[in-house]
Amino acid sequence: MPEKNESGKLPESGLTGEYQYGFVTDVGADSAPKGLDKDRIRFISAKKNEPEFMLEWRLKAYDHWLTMKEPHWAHFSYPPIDYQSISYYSAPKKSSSGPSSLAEVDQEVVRTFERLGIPLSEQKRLTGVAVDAVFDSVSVGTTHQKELEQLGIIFCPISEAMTKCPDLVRKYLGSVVPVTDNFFAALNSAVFTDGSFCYIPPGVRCPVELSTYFRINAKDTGQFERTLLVADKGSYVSYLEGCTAPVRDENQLHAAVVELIALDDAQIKYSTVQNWYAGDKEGRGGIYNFVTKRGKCSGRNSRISWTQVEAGSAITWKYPSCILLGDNSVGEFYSVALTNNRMVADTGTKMIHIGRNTRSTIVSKGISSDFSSNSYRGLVKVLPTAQNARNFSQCDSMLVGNNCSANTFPYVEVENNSATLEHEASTSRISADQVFYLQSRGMSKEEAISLLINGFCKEVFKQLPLEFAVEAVKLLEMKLEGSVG
Amino acid sequence: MLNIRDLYASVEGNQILQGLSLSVQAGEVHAIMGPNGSGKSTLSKILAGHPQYKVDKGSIEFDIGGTMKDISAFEPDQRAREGIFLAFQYPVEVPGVSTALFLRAAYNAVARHHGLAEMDPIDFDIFVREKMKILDMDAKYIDRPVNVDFSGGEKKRNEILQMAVLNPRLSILDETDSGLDVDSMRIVANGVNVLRGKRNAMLVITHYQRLLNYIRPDFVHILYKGRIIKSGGPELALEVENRGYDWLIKA
Amino acid sequence: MKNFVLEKQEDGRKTENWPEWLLSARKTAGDMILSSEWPASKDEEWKYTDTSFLGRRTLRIPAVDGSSSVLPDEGVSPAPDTVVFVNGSFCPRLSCLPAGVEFFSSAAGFDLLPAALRAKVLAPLPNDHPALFALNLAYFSAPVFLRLNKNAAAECHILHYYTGAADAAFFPRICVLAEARSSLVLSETFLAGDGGLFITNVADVFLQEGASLEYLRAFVHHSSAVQISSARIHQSRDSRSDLFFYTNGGALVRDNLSVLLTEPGAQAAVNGLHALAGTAHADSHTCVEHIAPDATSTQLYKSILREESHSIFNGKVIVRREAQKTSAYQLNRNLLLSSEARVDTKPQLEIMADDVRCTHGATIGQLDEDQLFYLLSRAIVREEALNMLISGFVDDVTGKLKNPRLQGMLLNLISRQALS
Repeated sequence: MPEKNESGKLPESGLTGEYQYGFVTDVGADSAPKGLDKDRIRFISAKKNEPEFMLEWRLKAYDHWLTMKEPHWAHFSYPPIDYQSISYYSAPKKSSSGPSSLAEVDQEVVRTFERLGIPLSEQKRLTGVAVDAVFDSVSVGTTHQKELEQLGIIFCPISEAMTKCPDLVRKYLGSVVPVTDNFFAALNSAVFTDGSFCYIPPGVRCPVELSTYFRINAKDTGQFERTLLVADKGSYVSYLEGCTAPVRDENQLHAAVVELIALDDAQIKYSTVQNWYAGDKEGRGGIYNFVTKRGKCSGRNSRISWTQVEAGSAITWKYPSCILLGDNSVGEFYSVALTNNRMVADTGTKMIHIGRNTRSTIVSKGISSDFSSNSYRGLVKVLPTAQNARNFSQCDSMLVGNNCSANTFPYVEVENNSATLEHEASTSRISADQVFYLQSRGMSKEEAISLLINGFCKEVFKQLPLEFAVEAVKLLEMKLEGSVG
Repeated sequence: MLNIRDLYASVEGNQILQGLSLSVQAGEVHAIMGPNGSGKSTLSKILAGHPQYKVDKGSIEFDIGGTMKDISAFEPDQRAREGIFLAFQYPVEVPGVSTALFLRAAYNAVARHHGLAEMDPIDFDIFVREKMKILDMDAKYIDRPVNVDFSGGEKKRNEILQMAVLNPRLSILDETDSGLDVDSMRIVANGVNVLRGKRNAMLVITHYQRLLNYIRPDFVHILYKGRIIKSGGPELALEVENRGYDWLIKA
Repeated sequence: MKNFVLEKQEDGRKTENWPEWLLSARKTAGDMILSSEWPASKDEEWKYTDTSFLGRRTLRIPAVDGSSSVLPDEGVSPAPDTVVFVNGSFCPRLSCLPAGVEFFSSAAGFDLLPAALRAKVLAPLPNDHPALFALNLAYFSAPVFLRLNKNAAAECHILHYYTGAADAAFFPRICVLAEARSSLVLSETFLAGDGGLFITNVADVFLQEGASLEYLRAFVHHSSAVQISSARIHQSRDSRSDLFFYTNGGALVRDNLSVLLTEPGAQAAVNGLHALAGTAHADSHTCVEHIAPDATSTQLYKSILREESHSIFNGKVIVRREAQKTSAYQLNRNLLLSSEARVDTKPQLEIMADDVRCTHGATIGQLDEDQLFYLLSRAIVREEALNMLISGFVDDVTGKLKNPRLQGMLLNLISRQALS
């Protein structure tokens, strides 16, 4: 459980109706020219002082990417992305190779993170949370390093991990999401610039929440971070991820890859509060959030839980998944996705049951308002080897207003007759009558809406660390303000 | 009729019964009381032969044709045909299977086993309706799927109806009073009392004393941590009602 | 889809009384087929049912002369309100035409459709493959057309027998116009023998204001048969439909069912059962579209799978923006009785109106152990208990069919399969 920082406050989402994180930080950026080719990849790899195997790996991914087609879904369209007009590398100046200590971090960047509620300096940092902050393409500071090191936990920018523990990186990078997996994963593998790496040694229970905070700042850049998290036998880690970006009229691309590996008896909790800039009321601007997140329960009795609160981005395509390979392993997916204005969210999960006695739980809550579209898309697959697999899925939608849509696309594929699967879905609404009823009992309208949303999402919020759950509720309230009549 | 000796039994790897012994003769009514988690429901499931409950040690002997036999390895339907009946605490819903069909299949299975004539649907209908009257049950239930859309009280009555139809030698009533209002409890108890007789015995498992006002036991046993810690007459139940279980546990 | 061969040329297929609008659509459809491919698993709607193997077979289209000399059951007297087709040809000797309804066994009846409805029967279903839909349009020859006048009540039972002419292709079609407040009990039963028969049929039913329909469709086939079917129910104000689909599968059975609730107060109950064994493959796609407010739909589809059978359910509920106060319910339940069987299910919701009540669900599993224990504890022997639970699973859905004659037909078909 994170404790409070010096000012007694946790990272705030802000409660004004407008996007609060839309400011731009004026730091001189050291950016690569726009466009993508093999030289650009060599440039990125050289900037990062990567070992040779990484450059080869990237070039292989790039070659494969060139052969792939961008995916398109039936339910919406967006203007084509010009991959040659994106800058694939941007770093705040003076820290072009990544700062080795906070003293080297540009004070403007430090202040940016403080405005976001993420203090990086040792005196002000959040005592219960270790933070790795990623600004555009580079990691600008990781807190709590020393305490973690004493336990043998490695938590650092992934670029640093390549020189610090190349064997671990080499062994696990791409082992869950192969470079050939999909269009955006291949692109990420070719050009990713930073992200977090975390390794929890056998038997260690990580005492603090590990957290990465991502911010896109520079114009015309894409963010392609990569997160790799390995929980060795019998270990436990809870990991939090938050995201913001400035208000810009153009769309920006965020194509991250997250890979989780849980060995025997290990447990990983991965929580995300995503609030990238979502565009304005007319749908101008905003982040395209095309993310590949996947966990592999490779060990017996391992467990991976994804919890996400998706409240931002113009378009979100995101399916945090679990490959349940180890016997008795457990996969969980808890999601709240809120869309307003003209946002499009297409999110869900894949649970692939391979090992015996594997179990999975899916709880998805979609809230759509204004002119937005919110879809759950999920797959539960039980392979012939997965004796006694169990799945329970629940997908509920709430519509606020009459111009939005909510869709549910659950795929269930079963090839083993010892499996038991249940899928339930329903739709509901926050009605003016309900709000009035609660108001007539003395609650303010905001309290009433908050109570109803809380009730709708409570199974998901209770998976989040308490303070983050409180933040998540505030974030949803803010986004829905003015939508409920 | 029933002789349980030093029984150790477990469910999903947890040993719940730890050295339970109990002897029941024909014509007797025994009440089993105990706090939550003492093993009351495990005792009922192990007697009925639920596949998830395993005997680790000890024996369960039951009178079959005049000789006591260990029935630990008997299938649940085999036990039922020999005259063991469990009235479930939470009767299961069986969608699509009508109560009439279900009851007749059960009755005929027992009749066949004892070399008696099976009943055709018309005779059986008359037979069941008689039994339903005793329990004040509406005849409409007979055409509904087993326990589906039955209220809690209706489910319990349906259990006693099955008991009346099968006429078992040993009836185990597992928390039959739970979830019943006073009127329903009186009707259910009345049904049970009608079925009491010299040749059959009952085990009444209950958390509260109140059911025992209606079904008067000959013996009362207190179950705690998987074994009987005290036995006595009906007065023991009243004492538990007044003083709770703590004094027994501490003793 | 160029692998069809006409046994006789088009002039052998009687089209002289056909409405002009239908003939020109037929021509367009014919052209479209030639430039189309068989749908394969890369098409989202055909993800689990790949038809491309059909493209490698030569399918013969036998001449249909309007009446048949083949009498499968000599000496059987026709049942009332029963229409029999053998190998695609209408069999007057075995039929007893339905009373209380205008009956046509030719396309001439299609001219009775009001002009506004004609385009609707020519457009493919939302979940259908346009070329497969066009296939029937291009080749159908002896359709049934029924019109019920206002307030009329009628029954019609259509039986299609196919008797093992190898690789023969058939294109049955039916169109029903049920005028205001009429009521119809309808069944279509398709029975195909061996020989790798190919059937692709289309049904369109228009229920006008306050009309009601109880409609059983049953496909009971040899394991080599292929049937791809499209049925569409167009429902006006306060109309009611009770639909039931039953199949034992085949080499490939695919049913596309579209229910369009176009006006307020329409109600639809959409039910189905796949009872599969061997290598049977059955794929039901349902699409219930709430276009107008205050309409109600319920769906219950069940599958029971033995041996290496494969069942697919894809159920879609679409609630359009105007369709406030919609109530829609959908459930798909699958009972897997063999370790080799496979189920793919996708119950989908697409909702654009906010004041609606929609729930859907799917379950896949074996028989319930607690239920089994309950029956065993009542002295019922294991095998009997298992059978009771299996028939309980089936009866729960067959009980949705209320008309006694339809229910009798259905139970007869199910038990016939159990015996074989």
